[in-house]
Amino acid sequence: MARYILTRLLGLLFVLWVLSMITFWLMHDVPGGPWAYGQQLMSDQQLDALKIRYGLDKPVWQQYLIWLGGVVRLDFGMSFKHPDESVMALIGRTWPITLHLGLLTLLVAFGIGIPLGIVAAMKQNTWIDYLATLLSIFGFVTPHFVWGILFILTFALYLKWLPTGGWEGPQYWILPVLAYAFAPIAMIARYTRASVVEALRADHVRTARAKGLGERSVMSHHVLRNALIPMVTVFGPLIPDLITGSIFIEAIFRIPGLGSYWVTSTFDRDYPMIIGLVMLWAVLIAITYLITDVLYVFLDPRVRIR
Amino acid sequence: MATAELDVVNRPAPRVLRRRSLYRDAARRFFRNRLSIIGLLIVAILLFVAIFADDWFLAPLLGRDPQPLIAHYGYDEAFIGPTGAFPSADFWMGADLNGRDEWSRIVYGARISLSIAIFSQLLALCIGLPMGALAGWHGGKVDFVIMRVVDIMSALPVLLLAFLLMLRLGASYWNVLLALSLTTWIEICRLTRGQFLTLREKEFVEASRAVGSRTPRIVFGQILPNALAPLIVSVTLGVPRAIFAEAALSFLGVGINPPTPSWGQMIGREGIANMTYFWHLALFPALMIAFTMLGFTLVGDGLRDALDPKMVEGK
Repeated sequence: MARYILTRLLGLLFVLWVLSMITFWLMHDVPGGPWAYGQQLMSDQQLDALKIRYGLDKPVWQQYLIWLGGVVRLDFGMSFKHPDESVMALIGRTWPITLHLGLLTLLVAFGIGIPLGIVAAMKQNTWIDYLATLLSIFGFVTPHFVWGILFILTFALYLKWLPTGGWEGPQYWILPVLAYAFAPIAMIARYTRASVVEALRADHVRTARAKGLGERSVMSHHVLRNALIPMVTVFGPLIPDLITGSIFIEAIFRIPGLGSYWVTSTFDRDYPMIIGLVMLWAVLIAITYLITDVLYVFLDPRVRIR
Repeated sequence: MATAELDVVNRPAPRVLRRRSLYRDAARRFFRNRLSIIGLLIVAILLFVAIFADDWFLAPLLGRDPQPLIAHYGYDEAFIGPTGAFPSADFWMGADLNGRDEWSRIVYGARISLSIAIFSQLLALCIGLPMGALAGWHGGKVDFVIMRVVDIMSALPVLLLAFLLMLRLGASYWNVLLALSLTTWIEICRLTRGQFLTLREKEFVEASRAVGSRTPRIVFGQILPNALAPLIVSVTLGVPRAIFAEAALSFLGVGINPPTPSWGQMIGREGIANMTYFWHLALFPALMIAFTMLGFTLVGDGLRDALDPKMVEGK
């Protein structure tokens, strides 16, 4: 097992290395530069001085090596846009807000999605099942920014129950979390239902019923256990997606989190920030997949790692 | 007696004996599913609206510019009076802040959203299918290299990659198409590879090889037709995702260039900022995106259920 994890981590390092090179090349290849939009009036000398200060006058491969040298010491450089903050500090300041939103969303998504899926599977082809299916179709097909818009229009502007945006207290959390959670709820409910339905058809479930076990015991011991284990692989990848934030949700609800930097950093050509975010994302994705795979082995004794 | 036997022979074969292929069965299952019919209807309506937004097919024959058919006005035709007007009998969905009819822009936007979504999926198929087939059929080094490319591509945040690509290529219709296909071919590649890996070992492929078929014949004649069903589903379900992605890119301002309308761009440029008062500018494009994704998702779900051989009839 330790050997397997080690191999995977080495593979991850390789992927990160190639990824950083591609991103580095791509972002420097994009026309324009960090100070090209002329927000500040600068003379050519001042611009050159800035370029030299940030090392942008050197060839790209040298810049890459310098960056790589910094990364080894866990120094991702200073943000161009926020010159008094390092990339690490900037992420450290804004990510907690996004994490807060993401974890709440995860909680709501699993808290509603899994029970909904189970109930729909147990009461197949009844109104509850149809309602759940309908809900999951609508959750699935409507982008979260559309939910965000609809929620603001109804609950904030028309009914005036909740604030339109901001991030100051629990009442500000409700709408973004709901808008953000709708699609994952739909997905989780869909997969849970399919998985439970399949588990219900298994022979050992029939046997359990035949020997007179109560419905509750059959469900908890024989159905749900088998149904929910494969779900780990489906749900795992949801997590990095939700905790790195959505530019749309954060833009619509004016939440000062990490999400907006995914786009503003590219607009500003804030190179250290772009590549810092790509690395953060890639590490999160890879670690989640690794944990999912390892967890699977522990949960399902039939699976063996080769 | 003899005539009676002849009679039996001459009678048309009973229905049960009719040749039943996977696709004919699937079509029957598909059309029995009420939800997929609704989806198909939605898609048909949207395609109709997109195609007949104006009379582009007549215009060259008559030697004039296309005139609006389903749209009421041109998408960039601005009026001074109704700037930001709310929905009314004249302007069904109101007017935007430049005084352009929102309904006409929605109708022309359907053309952009649908064509980008469908063509980007087809282009992704053109990249992903050969790559996946190559990886799955050859195995070994080819497989290793292609799969590492796929690994790396899937570790990149899709939106950021599309974003960088758009900034590199410049915002335009064709570049959105290209950026979307470059970010979505991975899944098709993986799927194709998996299909080829399993099918390569099947008995009918071995049989085909035993009777002396050459590789192209095995690949195109035996494996590809059998690998197609999940790919059809994947491409169909990829369409709503591409609609979302195009809307997202245009929302952020790197997608379709104005004045050409796209639903995402309509939300991003005017909708969000003015939502507190001009609610119609965000609501209608948002609803259209949801409606379109609903249609394609229902069709994709229906196709998946219909093409899945595990779905035994009557269940």
